[in-house]
Amino acid sequence: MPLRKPIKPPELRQFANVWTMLGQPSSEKEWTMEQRFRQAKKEGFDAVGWGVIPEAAKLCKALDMTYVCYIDAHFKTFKDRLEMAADTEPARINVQLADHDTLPVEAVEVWIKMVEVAETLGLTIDLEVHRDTCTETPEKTWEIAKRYKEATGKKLRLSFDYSHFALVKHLSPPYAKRLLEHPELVRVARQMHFRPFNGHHCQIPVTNGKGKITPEFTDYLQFVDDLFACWFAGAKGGEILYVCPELGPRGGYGLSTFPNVWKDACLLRGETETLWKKHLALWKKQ
Amino acid sequence: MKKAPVLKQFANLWTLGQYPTKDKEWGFEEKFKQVAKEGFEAIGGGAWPVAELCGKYGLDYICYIDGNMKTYKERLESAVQSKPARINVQMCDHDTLPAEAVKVWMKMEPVAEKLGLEIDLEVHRDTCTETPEKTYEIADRYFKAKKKKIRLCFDYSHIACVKHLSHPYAPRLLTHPDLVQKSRQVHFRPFNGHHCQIPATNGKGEQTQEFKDYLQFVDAFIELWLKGAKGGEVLYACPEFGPQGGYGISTFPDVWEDACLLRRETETIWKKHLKNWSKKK
Repeated sequence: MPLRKPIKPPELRQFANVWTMLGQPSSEKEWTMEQRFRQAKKEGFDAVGWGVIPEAAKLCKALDMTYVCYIDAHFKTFKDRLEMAADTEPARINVQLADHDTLPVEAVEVWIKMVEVAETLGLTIDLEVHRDTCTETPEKTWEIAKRYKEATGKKLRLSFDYSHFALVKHLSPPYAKRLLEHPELVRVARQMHFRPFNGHHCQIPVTNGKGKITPEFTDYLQFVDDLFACWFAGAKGGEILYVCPELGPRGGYGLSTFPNVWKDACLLRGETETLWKKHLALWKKQ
Repeated sequence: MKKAPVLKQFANLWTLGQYPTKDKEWGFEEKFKQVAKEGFEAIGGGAWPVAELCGKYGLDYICYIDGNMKTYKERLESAVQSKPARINVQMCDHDTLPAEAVKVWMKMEPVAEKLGLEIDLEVHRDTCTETPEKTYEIADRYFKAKKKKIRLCFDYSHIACVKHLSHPYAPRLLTHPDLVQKSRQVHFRPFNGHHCQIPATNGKGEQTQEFKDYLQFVDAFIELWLKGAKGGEVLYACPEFGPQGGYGISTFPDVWEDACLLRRETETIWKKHLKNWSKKK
């Protein structure tokens, strides 16, 4: 009887967003781009993400990391944006598509064309769930997914950032029941942005500025746990999930009273890895 | 000479939940006393028998209720006991269509009128007004049906977050001056485009940058509102901060102290614009 080929387990690759490192370690002595990549490597990240930056491919090669490229796009710009993104030699591309007032029917037209162009360029793209884009609400996002399925017969590959839905929908913990309402789309996802949230804040502090974990973050980690359980239930083996412990700097997502966001992001990376390992062990048993 | 418009600021009892500490929370009457002491003209909360306390401390009452097609009558009737100056209504649900919502509102108004109540439809997530699109569609449908402008209670923190806005906020938020000028109740919860509540101070008594940005919006709102004032109007405004456990984050400073600071800042802004209004009249 021939031996069954061993199944390769799913893999988690966590990427640091350069955005989190803006103004780090201080606005006067900000790290250079190379130093940011090195810091990410030092902190245990497998990848780095941000916009179309010329040094991305070279730095990733030197440090044995991969790159997740962030672009925005709409009907007129998507070709240009994809061509530019190709220079970063990205593992995946995160797309913020169109505007807050773009109708799902228009958005899906752009996305279908964009997937085709991306394929010819050898790029893998994920449609980000994000306010101020065509996916600003769950209703719009699910309508886009439905229309995409009807047009192509395939499930839409989203990059979930649930902080946006939680805020728009005024949610309370536990969040999973309201947020994980489309498990089939969670399972097809290969990129996620983990920005800790609650139902009124698109970003919450991981720590209280004295190194202690906040109660809001504890609630959020329960959601990460539930999200991994959902994702693993669909994993067949060999999948790579890119996850970004994503905290924005001061001046918007980051409030002036929040503790150091980079340190918080590094802590979240560690907690995410722990949860992943727990679910991976369960998956292997099954 | 025309009677000047009046600003009446009200404290929300919600802000005083578990205040000053969970173990030594002020008694119900103590909260009214503290609110009056801090210079508020009114206080807001649920449909409770508060008329006596309001009388004792010289405060008006703003009653908060929710309501839908099945419950609105009962809610209005229970609000009567609080003898409110105005009622704030959080109506229906996040998935209620504007066409349905406006029907409820048009049924609610005559019942309120009969009971001698003034009602304002709050702009709030998780209700029929969760997005600006839905809110303004309700306003349009109401206008078409009644030939009148709808009276909203604006809480712009919700729209700012749903729409991912950046400072300065006024150009994106004050898109319907007619509805702003028609309003008689507003909730001033400091926000930015990602946080439905931001701290006014940094815990050391200094104002945060986010709060300074927000005050510019308050300035723009009051200026716009007074532009439409003919004289004699009363605007109820709530410097509204939620306690810890949701709107308030565990690392935020004292929300009551922040609310009192916002009350003072709002009063200063109001006086500045009222002076200009008086000159023009």
